[in-house]
Amino acid sequence: MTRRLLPFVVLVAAVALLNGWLYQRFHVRVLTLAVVWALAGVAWNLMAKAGQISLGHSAFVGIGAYGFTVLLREGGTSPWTGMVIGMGAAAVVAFVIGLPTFRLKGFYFTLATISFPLILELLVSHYGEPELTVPFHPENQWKFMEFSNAHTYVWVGLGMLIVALLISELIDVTSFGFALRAIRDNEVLARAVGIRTVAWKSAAFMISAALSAAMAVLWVKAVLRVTVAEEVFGITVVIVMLSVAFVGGVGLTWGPVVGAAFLIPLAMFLDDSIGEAVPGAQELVYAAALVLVALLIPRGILPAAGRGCRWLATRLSPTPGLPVRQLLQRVVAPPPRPSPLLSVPRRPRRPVVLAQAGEAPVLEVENVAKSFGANRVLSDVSFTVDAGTRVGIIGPNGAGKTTLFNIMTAHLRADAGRIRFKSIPIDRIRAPRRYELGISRTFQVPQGFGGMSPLDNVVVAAIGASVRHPVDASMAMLERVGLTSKALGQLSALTVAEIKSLELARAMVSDPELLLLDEPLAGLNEAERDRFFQIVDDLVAPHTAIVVIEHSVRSLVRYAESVVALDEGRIIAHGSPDDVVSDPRVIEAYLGSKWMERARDQ
Amino acid sequence: MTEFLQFLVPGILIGGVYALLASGLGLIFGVMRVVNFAQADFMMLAMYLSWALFAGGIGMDPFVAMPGIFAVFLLLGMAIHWLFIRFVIGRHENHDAQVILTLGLGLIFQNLILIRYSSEPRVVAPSYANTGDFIGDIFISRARLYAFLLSLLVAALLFLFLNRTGTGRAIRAASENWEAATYMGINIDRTNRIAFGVGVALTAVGGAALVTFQSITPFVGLRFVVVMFAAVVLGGLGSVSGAFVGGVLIGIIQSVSQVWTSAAVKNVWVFALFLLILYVRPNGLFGKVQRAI
Amino acid sequence: MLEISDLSAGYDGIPALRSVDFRVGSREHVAVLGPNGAGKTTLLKAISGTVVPDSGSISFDGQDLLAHAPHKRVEDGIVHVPQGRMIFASMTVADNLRLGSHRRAAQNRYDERRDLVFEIFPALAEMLNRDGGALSGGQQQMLAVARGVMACPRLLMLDEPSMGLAPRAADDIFEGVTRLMQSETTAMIVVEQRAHQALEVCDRAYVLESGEVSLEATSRELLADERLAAAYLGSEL
Repeated sequence: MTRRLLPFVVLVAAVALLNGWLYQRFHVRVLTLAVVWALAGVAWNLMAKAGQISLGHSAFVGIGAYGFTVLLREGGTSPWTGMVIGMGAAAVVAFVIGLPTFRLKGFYFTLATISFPLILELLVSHYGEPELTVPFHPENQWKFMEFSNAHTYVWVGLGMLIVALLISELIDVTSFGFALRAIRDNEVLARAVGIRTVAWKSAAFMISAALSAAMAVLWVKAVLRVTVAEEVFGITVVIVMLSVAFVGGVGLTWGPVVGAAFLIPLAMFLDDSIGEAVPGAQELVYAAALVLVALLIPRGILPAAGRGCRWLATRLSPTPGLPVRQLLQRVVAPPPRPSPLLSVPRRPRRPVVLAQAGEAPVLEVENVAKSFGANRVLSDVSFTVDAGTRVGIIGPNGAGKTTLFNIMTAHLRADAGRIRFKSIPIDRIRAPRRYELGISRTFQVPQGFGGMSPLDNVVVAAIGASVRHPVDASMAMLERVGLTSKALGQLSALTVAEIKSLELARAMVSDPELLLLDEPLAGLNEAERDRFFQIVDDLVAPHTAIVVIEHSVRSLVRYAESVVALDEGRIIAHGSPDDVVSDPRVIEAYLGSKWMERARDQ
Repeated sequence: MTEFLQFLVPGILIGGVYALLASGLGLIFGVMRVVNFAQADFMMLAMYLSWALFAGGIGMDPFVAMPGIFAVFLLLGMAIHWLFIRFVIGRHENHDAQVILTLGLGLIFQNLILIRYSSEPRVVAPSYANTGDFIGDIFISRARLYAFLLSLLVAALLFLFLNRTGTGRAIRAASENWEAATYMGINIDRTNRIAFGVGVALTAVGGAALVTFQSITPFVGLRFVVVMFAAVVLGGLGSVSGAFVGGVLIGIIQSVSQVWTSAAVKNVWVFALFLLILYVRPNGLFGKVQRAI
Repeated sequence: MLEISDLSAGYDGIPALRSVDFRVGSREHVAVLGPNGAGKTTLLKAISGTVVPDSGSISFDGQDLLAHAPHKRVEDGIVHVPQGRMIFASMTVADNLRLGSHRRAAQNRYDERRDLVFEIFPALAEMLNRDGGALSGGQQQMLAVARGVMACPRLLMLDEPSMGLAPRAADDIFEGVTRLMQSETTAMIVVEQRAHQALEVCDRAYVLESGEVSLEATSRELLADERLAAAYLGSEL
């Protein structure tokens, strides 16, 4: 708790001290702007928690600024009311922008966001007013945010900043934050464990937009005093947001506060001293900061400082009576407890059981076909999987196994054919919903959320399945796969076999009815392979069906109850493992026709 | 109809210049997967260089100065790659660092020019700047015509470079599959450096072609950056020929929009089209649509 | 010619090769066999430089290969024909071949090498001006091997040349490889799943399993060895 409270105390104390101590107009202005841009950075950083770099936030700042100015001019509306309305408008715009934009991959999002403020600026300047003065209302200081004492703006700004920081902290400790971090680390995996990525990103974008609009009101009232389209919709707004966030720590709640504390005074004092002769001095500070951060500390000061402390803690000799080392070690020590999670119980979204064991098969694949261009990869593939059975799918490289798997996991859509899960057609159901229904998977190349502890990797999956006590359930899963001691460490500290165990824990925490394993044995040695299937058997409930896609036949034939053999996109054999591996077509597919000829000759 | 043609023809002419500007951005993205937000500021720098050559005593015509400008920016681009860009190109996709690095570099260029030349708009007005000919009812500006013809010439040279020289082939190979290119013995770092230099130089030449009808300020790049992106995305990210076609289309749309709406909001059409293409056909007009569920 | 000792490599900390010793003599043809995920491709990538090993050494003609950048290794004469063919689909067959002769030692021998390539794969001669992407899988694989041959390799590495091909097309590739081995003295490493075909054209073979060398023997010994079938299909055979 102190870890989370301490920064707030330091922030309030520092701002209060400076606000009491500074009296020159310019100095108070610098302090005000530092608070304003810290607030803007915190708002912008909410999106960065999900790994999304937005260059369009000046659209929301502009909406907030124009919204309250127009309301104040036309209707005499209080800026506070105007702020609330502007926040709502910005959130609505963010929602509308976000829906199509979040379907874009990677930096396409960043590219798309640039154009929104540009469009708004042109429309507002042309069809509205390029510049609006904010009417002066000295009659009611608080109602009209018209403080005669410049220090009051700092207090108001501090209050708003604290609210924004609390929102950011709250996001971090709820399933919201887990979902955003999961999206940042690995979007494909996040969707495979039931995280509805577009919904979460939209929610973050809306809150981020609303806070940006709120910041705009304070910025205009306390500093600008006039709303200029070119300024409030301008790229410079985004540059400053980016700079304070990236310099402090991208995606981190406290990053922008640190960034603003460094950059804003530096830029302002430089501008004050040489601004006359060097008009671009302020912007040069931000630009240089961006370039330096990109080249030297791409994740910002806070993470770099953490690494620095860790390095110092290992280097300092343990001199008696020198508490620095102990202190440092306490700071950098791995957390003794799981990351906090205020979980709000949700009703599991799994349908009432539609099929009892023994009735309809768990999985029915019917006449599935898929082509890439002229290249036909799968033709007419059909098989069924009953509850509680283990089915192996084998075939040489290029046989179509991975394509089939991708179709089962909603990565690809089949050109023809149907797939049913417990009699429900799932052909058009997206990955998160398939997971909720009770289909779990692992990956050929083991996947993980790299920025999270092994425990949190499982917790995300538990959240995705609306498990009642996500942390306890995840810890129990890790215990069953023997990873208790490494649960809170770094993901990168795990061995291959351990990562595969972690994948199993993650896949099984939802108690799925169908488990899809994609070449789970690759990279494991003989002993590890047998152990792997032991862990699988320990974890699965009797009703869980398992489909294993595997190239290496040897371990699979000992494990699966029935085997489907694919070659050139067709099923060439289907039946008991012994029958399939002695089928001439299978041997030919694996070892070549000449092998068969020779075997026949002998 | 005549009104439409009166906007269509200048649209095609300016579109040729957009094509040139965008081809540089497209080449850089295609080869090293870097979205260069500083690209429009290289254009701005080139505009100032041609202004300095024209107004600074020598009175050199921008079109005469073109080969020199190409050479200067080829070297500048290679230097910027060597000094900065190569550190953010990795096997691990590092888009965040690329975005803030190139944004920061662009901002530095803008403000250095602001410090040196102030924000006063500069113009380059050779004798042909405000003349033109009528073909029927359609007025064709000399300056724009020359710029368009220059773009065609550069496009032809670029085509020859990429298809007929070893370095050009290496660039195309690296852009299609860097791993396979490595197996051919192609030095990827060197190819990237050359491609960055050529990409910057192409945009620079485009900038120099603009100066006879576009006033110059340190922030002129902002007006062009999304136009360039729109052209590149329209033609398919990474495709140089696509960027050319995209540039011409953008020029036409921007110009023809004035039949219906004010010239002041002509870029709104460009930005809206840019978004539409991103949403509907993110691989460009000519790209394949590969959809998951 | 090529000496690898105690080589370990992996991706993002996930090991793919563990302490591998491997050797190719000059003019020797070596097969690398084993199931998926055994580390065969990683071994080739470590040799050509697109995977950086975690530990171990690779020497080529007595030089430390790990000190050379990947493109420099092509100049040394190590040419990798990668898995999945990786031909340049938007370029013509002729341009693909030209890129194959990018290596300095091969640049002036384009015509001579092209004639050799046509001898090995006569089918390519008729499609010089077609785009790589318009070729069938088998033709693309011929082009990929041909592109490697253009570089006048001293060590040619073929990664699963028959992958994803129909048996007929795979046979065509192997016939071409056989012709190549007869007319050239290049050392070769052939990674292959169709074990028999690889063993027929190679002198010696390694079997990789789970990133470790589980078997090393001459082709003749291996063809008679039941352990090879076991490595692929299980002990039942």
